[in-house]
Amino acid sequence: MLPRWQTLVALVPLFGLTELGLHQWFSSRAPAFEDYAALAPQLLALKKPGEPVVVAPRWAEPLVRQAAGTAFPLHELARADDTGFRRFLEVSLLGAEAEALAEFKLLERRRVGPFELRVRENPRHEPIEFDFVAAAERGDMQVFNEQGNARSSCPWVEHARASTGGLHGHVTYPRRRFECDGGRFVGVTLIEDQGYRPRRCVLAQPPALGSLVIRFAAAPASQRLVGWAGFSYFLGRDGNGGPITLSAKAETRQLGRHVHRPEHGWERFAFDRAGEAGPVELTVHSDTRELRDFCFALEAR
Amino acid sequence: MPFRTWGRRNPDALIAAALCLGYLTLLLATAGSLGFTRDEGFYFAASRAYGAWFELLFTDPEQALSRAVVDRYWSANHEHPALIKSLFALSHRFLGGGFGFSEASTSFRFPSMLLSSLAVAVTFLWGRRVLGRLAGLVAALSFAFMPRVFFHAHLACFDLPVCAMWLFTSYAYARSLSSPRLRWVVVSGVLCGLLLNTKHNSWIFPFAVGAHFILTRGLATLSDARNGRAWWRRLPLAWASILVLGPLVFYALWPWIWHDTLARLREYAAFHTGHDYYNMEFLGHTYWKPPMPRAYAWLMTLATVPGVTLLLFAVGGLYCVARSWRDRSQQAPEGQPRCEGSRSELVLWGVCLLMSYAPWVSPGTPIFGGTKHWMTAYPFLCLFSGLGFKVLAEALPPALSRLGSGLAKLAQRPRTLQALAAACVLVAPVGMTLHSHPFGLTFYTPLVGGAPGAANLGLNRTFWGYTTGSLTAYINQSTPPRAAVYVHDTALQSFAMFQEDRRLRRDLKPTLSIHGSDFALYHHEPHMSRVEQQIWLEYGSISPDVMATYDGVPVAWGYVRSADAPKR
Repeated sequence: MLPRWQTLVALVPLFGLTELGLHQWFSSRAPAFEDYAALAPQLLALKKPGEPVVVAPRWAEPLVRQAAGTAFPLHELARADDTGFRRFLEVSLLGAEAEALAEFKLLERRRVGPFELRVRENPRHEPIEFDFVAAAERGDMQVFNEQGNARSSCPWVEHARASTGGLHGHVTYPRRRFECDGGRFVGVTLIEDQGYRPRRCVLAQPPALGSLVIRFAAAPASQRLVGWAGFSYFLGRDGNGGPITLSAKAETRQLGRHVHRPEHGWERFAFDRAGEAGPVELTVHSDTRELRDFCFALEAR
Repeated sequence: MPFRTWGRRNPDALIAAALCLGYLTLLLATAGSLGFTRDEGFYFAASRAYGAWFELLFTDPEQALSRAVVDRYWSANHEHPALIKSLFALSHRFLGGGFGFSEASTSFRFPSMLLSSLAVAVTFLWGRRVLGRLAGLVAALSFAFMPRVFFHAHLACFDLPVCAMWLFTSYAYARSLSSPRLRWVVVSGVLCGLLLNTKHNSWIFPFAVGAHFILTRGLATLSDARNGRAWWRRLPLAWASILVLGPLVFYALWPWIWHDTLARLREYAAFHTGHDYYNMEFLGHTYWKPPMPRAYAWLMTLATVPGVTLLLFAVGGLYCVARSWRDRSQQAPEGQPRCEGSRSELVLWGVCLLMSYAPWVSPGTPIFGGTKHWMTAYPFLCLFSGLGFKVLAEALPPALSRLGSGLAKLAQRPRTLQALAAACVLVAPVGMTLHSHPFGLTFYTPLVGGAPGAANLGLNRTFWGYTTGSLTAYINQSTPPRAAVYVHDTALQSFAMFQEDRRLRRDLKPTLSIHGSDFALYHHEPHMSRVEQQIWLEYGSISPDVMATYDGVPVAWGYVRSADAPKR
């Protein structure tokens, strides 16, 4: 009688052959470039404005972006979060499902080669009444430096010198921006959150002394303001630089105040607005004089 | 003596030579398609500086040996010892251009390739001594065809050289313990000096030797000491050689420490004991400061070493433990080894393996280099795989004869059966390794679902910026004359080597500024995403123009600045 362990050991060569077979299967399983090219027209036909495309697994997203770049408008790709969108278009391959959409209702599914396109509805959708980042991108606001009771205006510049900092440097400094004294400015850029995902936001560099004031003259009525604040997580994750305070007020009353620490990453906050309409004034203040690449997004909901 | 006669009398030497030459040929044949890693760029530059000093030494030795000149040339990259970079320099001097290699990079990389190939041969020779010929061959080929080993074996870096040097030193040490010849004692000391001069992994080697002594001679030495016998006679003679010749060789071959020796050695030690924590993705989390995950080394080994090699290792290891346990309770006959092969050598394999992994037990040890940090363990892992194969080869005939029919007939031809078994356990490592090229750092075994499965799990996809090598054809064809190329994670010196070897057009201008570039490279790691996001805004496009993928997983890609997004 052969000991059981010897019988098991004798199976090792079969394991070797099985491993080779599995390797062949895994290495040829993912879609090829041609598959993505064939997907593109169908994806673009199904894509509607305001319905972000989500790719599952996430690592395949650059391939879908390469094949169908127009399906990814930047404001959707780098959205503040998912709650502002009613529907999503999920591109699934290898049977994957986007974790963030897992509980969203499936409205439609369509097979395209090795992909499945799924239209999903967000059960926690909160309509966006006003997107302050889009307004900032249009230059549709006023920006001031405030010290004591004195305010100095920061003019809108269409063709400033844009710059990028690379891996260890600053976030992209946009070409269209409000330029303040001391070389600081306000404009729309991207930062990466704590998952290193892109977030589109208003870069607001507070002055060395005093505060930065951003005034939106007309924001439609909404129950509340929902916001997100952050720094580039890669640069801010070690907590250097101390907190930044963002406060919001309506014409006559204070709406709320959020204190943000860089190591927190992309952080959500909300201020009650009680259905009011009218101007919204944001004040950004740093306790330190150093240049701070603070960024925020804000929506009236 | 005619070669044929010599070969017949020395078949193992012939096999070792064939393994070495075969592996070297394979490495040379595949080097041209592998891009240049970030660190290689720095070592190319340092090697050029050392090469210039060697030129001076040949022409004006007096000047070359003056302190100012030594310091000027050898200060380059002095955070690492000089031996391997000196070999790169000499190889480039004698094998670059003319009748040498057509690519300058290959002349720099050649010493690493040669040492890696010698490591394959020595793995065979050691396995042959302890386990037998076929098991030794399985051990050697299992080592050669580990995808990460194959990748690093190409590079002008220190990771495979230190793996090879550790193996050579421990082999010589093992021989010195079993042979009365003084030759191995001297060789152990010299090799230890070369090991120290290769990379700082060598600092662990004395602990491995110490652990081996305790495990194999500790009790006897203690008993001698207690009974007033000459206990010091149990100390290996090689220790004296290691303690005397090792430091001498280390000192002699590193001109940077010829002056201000202690201060510079302190600086060398401080650099590595206080090394920065670079970013490394593991299971979906980017680690950039301690505590580092304790499972990292073990899980990455599981995910990157062929499963069949690991299974054989487990068989070999368990068999050894089981036999040792049995022999402990049933006294082995005098003079007979307690385990298959030499017990002392098996213990040495075990401690070398465990010591190589030991630093990663601490959550304070950086993990940024991935598997390369503990590759010194891999030859020993494969030697245990060889032992596992030996166990398998012995188990197969009785197992097959039970099955009856044609397989039983096969059981009566043990040599054929063993050869078939060897082919079965090697075919997957060979197939996977060849398939992994030139994306060695993106490769993962089927245990985690290959490259797509690893990407799902959030295991690091690439680092070091070498995958620029997979985009050169597109860059050459699609960029305008004198275009500025944002190099991202590729070192400028590595980019220069792409140009020197004519893999990239020489009119291209590498730049570290996205803003000033016409073409932007991006090598994906999660924490690098901010670079791609900057490219999106700067180029006004989120759609890559070219992409290098491995098994369908994006690894590196590039953006062309469109006419709509002119440089400002």
